[in-house]
Amino acid sequence: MNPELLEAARSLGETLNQAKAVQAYLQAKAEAEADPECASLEAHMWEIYHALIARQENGEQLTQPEVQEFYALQNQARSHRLVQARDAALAQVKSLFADAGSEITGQLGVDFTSLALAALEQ
Amino acid sequence: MSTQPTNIDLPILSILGDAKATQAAQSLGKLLAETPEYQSFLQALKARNHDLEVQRLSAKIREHEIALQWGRGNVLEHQGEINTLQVQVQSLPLVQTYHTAEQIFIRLCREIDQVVSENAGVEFAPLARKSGCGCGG
Repeated sequence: MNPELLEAARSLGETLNQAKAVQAYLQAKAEAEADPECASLEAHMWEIYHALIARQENGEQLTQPEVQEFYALQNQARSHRLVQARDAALAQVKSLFADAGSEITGQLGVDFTSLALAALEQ
Repeated sequence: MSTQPTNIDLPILSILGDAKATQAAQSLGKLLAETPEYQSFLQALKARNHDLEVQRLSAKIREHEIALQWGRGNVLEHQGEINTLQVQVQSLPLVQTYHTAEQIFIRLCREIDQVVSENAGVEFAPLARKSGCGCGG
């Protein structure tokens, strides 16, 4: 990558990092992670989620009660005040990032974010 | 009269922050548009889109897809024709050139995204992608 382009990419990253939305999100994320109850609730939810997905991918039919149990756990995690605060802050970050992505796309005429993610999906 | 400093949440500060991000994104986009990787990609894209053989084969593919949508004819025959036509399209040198140029440009976009993400402290592209479902997620 040429130095000028590298510097422009760094500059955009730093500007986004300094944005109020990103700082609020990083703080909300840290608070959610630092809270034992919240962290444990989310860790448990993801543990169950990955276990269910693994079983489903192995061709196992999941029972209705265990699926419902997972959704109840997910709702419980989502309704935790620190998770809600983090998710609300994340929505602001998404909006800011989407606008920045649109500006890059506007200069190119092709969707920058799709191309950047296409490399990951190969 | 109190001279205590107060923390007032001024919306204008967020707007200015966003304006800086807009400006930085525009600068990055402009520089990216000047790279040889983008220019080659754009040239290959235009060549592919304007090629008569690609247009002819693409039109045939669309005909079969429309027939499938409307439930006309034999599903397996249409799907077989679509597969054959797609192989023909992909084997055209011009289309292969396009895919190569696209891969090179994709690699550059990915590298840029990594630099932006590292400096932002949050992954950029996955969060910048606009949801197609309209759910705002």
